Amino acid sequence: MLFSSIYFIYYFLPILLALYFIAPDKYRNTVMLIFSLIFYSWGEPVYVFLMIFSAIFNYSMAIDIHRDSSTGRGGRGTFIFTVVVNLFILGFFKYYGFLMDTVNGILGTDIKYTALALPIGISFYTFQALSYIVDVYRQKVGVQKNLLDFTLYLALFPQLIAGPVVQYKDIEDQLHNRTITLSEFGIGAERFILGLGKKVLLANNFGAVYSYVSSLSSDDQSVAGLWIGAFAFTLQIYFDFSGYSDMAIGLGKMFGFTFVENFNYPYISKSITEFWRRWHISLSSWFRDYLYLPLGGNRVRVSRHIINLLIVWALTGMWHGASWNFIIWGMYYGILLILEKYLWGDRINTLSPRIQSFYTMFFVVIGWVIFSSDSLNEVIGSLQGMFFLSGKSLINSSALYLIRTNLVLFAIGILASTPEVIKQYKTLISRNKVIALIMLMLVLVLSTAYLVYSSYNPFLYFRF
Amino acid sequence: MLKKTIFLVILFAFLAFVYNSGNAKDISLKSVEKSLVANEQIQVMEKCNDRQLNQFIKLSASSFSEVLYYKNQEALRVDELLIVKLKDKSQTQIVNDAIDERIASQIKIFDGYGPEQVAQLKNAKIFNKGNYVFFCVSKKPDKVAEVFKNAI
Repeated sequence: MLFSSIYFIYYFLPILLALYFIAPDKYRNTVMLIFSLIFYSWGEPVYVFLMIFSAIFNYSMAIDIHRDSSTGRGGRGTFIFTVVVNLFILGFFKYYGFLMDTVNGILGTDIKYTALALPIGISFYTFQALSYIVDVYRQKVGVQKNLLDFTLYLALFPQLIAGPVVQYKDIEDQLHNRTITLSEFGIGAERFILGLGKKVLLANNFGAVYSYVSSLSSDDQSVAGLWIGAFAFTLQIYFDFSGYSDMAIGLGKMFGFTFVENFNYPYISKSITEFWRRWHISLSSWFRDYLYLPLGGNRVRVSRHIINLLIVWALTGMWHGASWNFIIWGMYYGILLILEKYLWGDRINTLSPRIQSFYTMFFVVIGWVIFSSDSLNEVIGSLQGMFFLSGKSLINSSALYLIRTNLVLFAIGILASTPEVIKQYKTLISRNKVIALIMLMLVLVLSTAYLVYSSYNPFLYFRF
Repeated sequence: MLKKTIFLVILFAFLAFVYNSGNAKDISLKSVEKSLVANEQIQVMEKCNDRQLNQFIKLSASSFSEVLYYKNQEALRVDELLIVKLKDKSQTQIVNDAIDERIASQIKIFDGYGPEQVAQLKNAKIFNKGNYVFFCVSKKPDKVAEVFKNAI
């Protein structure tokens, strides 16, 4: 089920809210879990069993790891077994097809295989389970003895499908001890509506521009058109994913949960290093805590540090999808971060803020070209086109049409990707709550209208 | 050790079930079509009737639960989308053979003077998911496949 769907907003959510607040405190987790499973099984009637298996398996193994650690037996064997099984499940669904394609490609064979649908959210809930298992093994968190609470941690519907990647230590207390005030409920609802607006009013419209550019035949493409398409995807993916995160965080708040922030205006960054401190924060934190630091982080020799960064970023790319373009995208950022750290980072810091922003956005946009492409040939073709290497004209009638019809949209998008819009909105709230409320309702009504008349528009990050 | 073995047995039994079932939901092609027609790749194509399906793909629509067939009507374009909802999996081979034949015949037509068309045909996306067979020739068949996969 999508947050940005009429069914979710006007049926599922109101019914859940009513039942949740009617239910006595001790049954609220049960209500939440039942609805989370319904939410998931809406799109995944079979894979809901995989998620339940994952919950029972990790819950049970964590108890064994904790028991073995407490009795001095270490629990290392069970820990390794649990990590391997989790990674095997993720690998089977996510990378099996990619592996077979690669084998067929390298060996020139034609081994037939069945490409399975990727269970929605598997990358997110597997990482959450792994964070719990690692923390139990390291004795950083207590073991969860209530299966219902643990399953709720994995299946909690606001963050189940596309994060944020919630670490157990951040939510442990909230699983059985949370309070909801009317004010916090309101803040949550406001955040949800703003996220919905980002997705439906901005991301989907930028998506339409990007689709238009992508579908142009080679003859109809121009350098300007390709750059417009790349900018459109840059804004689409930001509003799509940060919109989803806003909705998830807002929904969590409405039910008394506080999730970690996932975005902090990444497009105002002054360096690539800063960009990754502001983009998909929960995933970066996961890789930092459970891979980068255990590998030694930056407290090692330079050569080892470079290898650590390349490993982390190759795996970050792979996490996004079973495709070479994602691995290259990850490595691209790994190399850029290494260059900033060891080669030109200090020089970047001395440049003017405008040039720093230009430098960052230039590489970020190129990164999204790699990310959004279906194949390496497409990446190369797009980049050649964008940099005058394939004989395309600077601008043509298609590009002029795009500029004419989408100038306002781009202006709104660029402004909305900075803190300025929210700053102005908050100023308005402090002065006149009624106008702010009307604006919020307007976003909800407009988003609903768009949803009624538009077709299925899944979130980009659903496929991860 | 016993507990771990039980977990592994359950896991592998589930994976075997999913792998063999294809895990596709039983959804009408009408609802799938609604999602697909919004895609830019499909907007260059037109919906074809049963006669055209028979003419171009050599399949009879009445043999299957449902068929969705879109095709670019321009003579020099090879874009087409075919989704067949099978009555049962034994029909998979018939459809796959028809698709293979269609691609081969199209390549034969364009070979020599339509390198872009031939490249698109060679890059056709074909896969089975549950009771569905998906075939798409377009500039970005993966994008169309993604919409289809999301829709079912």
